[in-house]
Amino acid sequence: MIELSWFSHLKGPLGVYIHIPFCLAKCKYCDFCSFPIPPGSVPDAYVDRLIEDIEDFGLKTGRPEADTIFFGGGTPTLLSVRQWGKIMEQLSRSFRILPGTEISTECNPATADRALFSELKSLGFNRVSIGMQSANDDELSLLGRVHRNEQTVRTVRDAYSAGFREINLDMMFGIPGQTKDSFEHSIRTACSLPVTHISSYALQLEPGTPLEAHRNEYVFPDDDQVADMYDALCSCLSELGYERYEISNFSIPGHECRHNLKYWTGAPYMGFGISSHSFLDRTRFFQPSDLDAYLTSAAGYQTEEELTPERFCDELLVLGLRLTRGVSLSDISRRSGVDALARYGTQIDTMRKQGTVDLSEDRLTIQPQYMFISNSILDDLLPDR
Amino acid sequence: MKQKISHIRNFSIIAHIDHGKSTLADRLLEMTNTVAKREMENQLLDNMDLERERGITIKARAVRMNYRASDGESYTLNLIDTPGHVDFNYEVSRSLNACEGAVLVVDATQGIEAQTLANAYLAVDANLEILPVINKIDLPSAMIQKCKDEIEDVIGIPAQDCPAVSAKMGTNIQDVLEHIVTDIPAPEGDPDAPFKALIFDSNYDSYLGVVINIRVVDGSIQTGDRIRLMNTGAEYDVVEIGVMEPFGLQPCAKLSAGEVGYITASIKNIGETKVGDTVTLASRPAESPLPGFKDSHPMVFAGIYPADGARYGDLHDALDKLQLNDASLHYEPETSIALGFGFRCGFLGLLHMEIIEERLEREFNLDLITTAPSVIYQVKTRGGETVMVDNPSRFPTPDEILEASEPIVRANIISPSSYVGGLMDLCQDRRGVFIDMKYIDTERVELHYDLPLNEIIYDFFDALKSRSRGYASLDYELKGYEPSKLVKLDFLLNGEQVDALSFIVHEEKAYARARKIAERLKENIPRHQFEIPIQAAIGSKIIARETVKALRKDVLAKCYGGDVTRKMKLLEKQKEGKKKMRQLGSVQVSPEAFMAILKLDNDD
Repeated sequence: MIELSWFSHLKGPLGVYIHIPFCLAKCKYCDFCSFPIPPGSVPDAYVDRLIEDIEDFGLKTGRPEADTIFFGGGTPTLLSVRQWGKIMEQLSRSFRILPGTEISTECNPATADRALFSELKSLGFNRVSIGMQSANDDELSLLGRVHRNEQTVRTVRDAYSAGFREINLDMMFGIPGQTKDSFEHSIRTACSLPVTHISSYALQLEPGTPLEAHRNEYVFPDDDQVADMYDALCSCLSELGYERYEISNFSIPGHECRHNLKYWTGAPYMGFGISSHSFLDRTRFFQPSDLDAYLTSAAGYQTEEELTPERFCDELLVLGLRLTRGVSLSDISRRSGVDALARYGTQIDTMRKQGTVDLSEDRLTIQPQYMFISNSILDDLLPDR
Repeated sequence: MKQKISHIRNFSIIAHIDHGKSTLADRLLEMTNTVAKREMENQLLDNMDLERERGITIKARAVRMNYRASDGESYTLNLIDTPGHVDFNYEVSRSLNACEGAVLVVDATQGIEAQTLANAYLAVDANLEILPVINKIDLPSAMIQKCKDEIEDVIGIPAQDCPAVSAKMGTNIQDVLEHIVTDIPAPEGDPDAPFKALIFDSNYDSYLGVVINIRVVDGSIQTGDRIRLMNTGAEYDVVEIGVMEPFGLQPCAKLSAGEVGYITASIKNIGETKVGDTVTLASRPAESPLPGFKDSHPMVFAGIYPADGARYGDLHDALDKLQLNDASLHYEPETSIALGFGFRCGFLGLLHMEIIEERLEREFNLDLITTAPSVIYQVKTRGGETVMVDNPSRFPTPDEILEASEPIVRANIISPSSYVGGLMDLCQDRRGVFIDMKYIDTERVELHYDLPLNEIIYDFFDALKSRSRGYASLDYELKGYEPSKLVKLDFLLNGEQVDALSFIVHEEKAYARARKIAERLKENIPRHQFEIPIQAAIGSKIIARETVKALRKDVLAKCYGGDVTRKMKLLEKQKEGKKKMRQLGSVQVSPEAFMAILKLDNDD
């Protein structure tokens, strides 16, 4: 169990994550923690418990600073306006929210309209991330998505006309039946909308999902075809002015997601709600996924890992190399207390000769063409245990 | 109490695999109260785990039983248990030479099979009285009369009155014991002649040193005598003599003509007490040794390497320990560029090789990489030399070879006649030369082929079984060397030759084999960050090529707060997996890749 008072000395600013584990329907590929509910029926008990936890945290840690807030799910846009208001109010009581804080929510097409976006805007939200996944309706229904493409288009327009200028679309590739052409069509459709950011992931078959259970009924693109799609994604987006800043994330320069950057730079973040993860003071902890236990206040934060300096250093490297800007070796040495050059130097030398990584000054990057096999590159880089 | 020579019976039990030899032995031990029922366990004489699991006898063992026969007299029965497999033919023949009779067990549902015949012939060669026993009569498909007829027709010994038993159920075991007493002759031997005994086995005991198992032919021996091994010339002072009991050794004062027992003499090295050698006394030596001694030579060779190079020392110790009990295991250090330090090991045959591998892995907890088995080739070079090559990587290049020869075996295959076509195709395909074909009865055929040994050692036995639904059986013996168009096939990964993958093949088969192995390698080499060409070459000529495409997707697409721990674990796992790989130059190969080239017939 985690005692939040351990973190009373925290220096901010923190990232804050709020998990809303409810959806209209569960998508066939999804192994996230979420429960299907009818529209507008997020239990008040869940919201109350969130508010309690936020309050408790603020009291025990002395109201730390926050500069990013992210609502994820699930489908946070199933919250009622009143529930949004209560949570935001508690956040501003328990955190010192800095000026210019990025406040985002995830949103599924067909769960938000112009009116909701206006409300969110007035509550301080300045970024939305919309789960488009594909512009192709057949692919959407195969994935078990409840929306169709025209609803995506309308949702983006609504968000834009409500005043949102930071809009992300989540896209998916590697869907059964998807081709490089249909994927490229989806990307171009996405970019024809007023969006500043695209996240695009290869579909991953997770155990326990319906898609995985029925995997033999589908023809999945093989690794080479998926890699072809990824290449198409990169070149298409680059042509349209979106820069790859992380393996799966692209933006108009200056419009990167600051909250997500915290995950990749090992910055501190605090999560609320079931199955949320937090990382403070080299300790990773989480709230278990048991909804009933959470609602009856029986559950508390549990430790996932306390990082040794070496492990922290490895994580900073592994996560940082997801970014095209890579990592500064002196920076991760300073932060972890481990001499990164001594730890990875030999491997880096070999790998530079092979041409898989680059080290200029003290900044280590994975060469662009190896980004999609980064696991194998990281494997070479990490020292043997 | 000393037993009169007329009341001793020395016998073996011989059979085809799975015909019930060990079960019958168990029943005899039980019936004679040699082992109390509560101490009984299955396959009592096969005390290695491996023997029990696979239902085979690897090591010979002897045990003494006392039996009161229906004539009212008490007899000493010495059962000498022998390995049943063709790999151990020489050991079997020596064990048989220590006996006057052999119980030939035939499965009533299967009839005579290749090893039944091979073993029966060995017994005939050793002038043994053969006592057929029909086993498994409890099974509904048992054909007792047919079996008896077959034994009379094929082996030519009377079988109408032979015992028909179920060793499993314990039916008619008494009948077997009675026949042993009445049918098998008592040993002959002159107790007053110079001492002469046959070594039919020896094993190593960490306390006693080498325990030599002997059958006394003439004379007698006592503790304190000085013995001489007639073929090696070595002499030792006897520390202890005695007889073998099921759970250990029973010392006694004296062993005389006709008896079976053991000698210990503080001998450290089992290699000095060769099976088949003759023991005599230094003070009064016999005139000549017993006939039939030969040094057993390994027929099959393979490189054995520790998967983890750091365990070379452990592998060395393990081989030393196995050799203590297995003089037929040969090994010497060798170095492979690809695999590092290991051993070139010589085995009596493929089963022997499998057994050694399994024991190394199981009893010594070693992970091994074994190269393709090879035979010994004889090569006359243009320089006028004749070299024996047991390691393919040392095979001379085509322009150095004047003439190469390979070992040929005479194979005896017994099969239901309906599979003969497929089996003849197989033998043809393996460069076999047809000798003759005989009908054993209306349904079964005996096929004789001369086959190159190197065609048998890969997967011939598996192919034989799959083409006959498991019914065909095989036995073979070395015939000699014959000239042959042999070439060395090399493999290059990413342009670098991998010595451990080289092997010798007949010129005509080189192309097909090269293509197939290249394909197999492709399947077994994971995709790397770069493209890997796989090439097969004879000398400098490339004859097959495959390509392992570069890795293109190996990424955790999503990585947010909840994914970090999982991601780090995944990387660790991936790294663990990599550790098991073998680095061959710039290419990492799984240990299974080496096995892959052995399994060629799988999808034929």
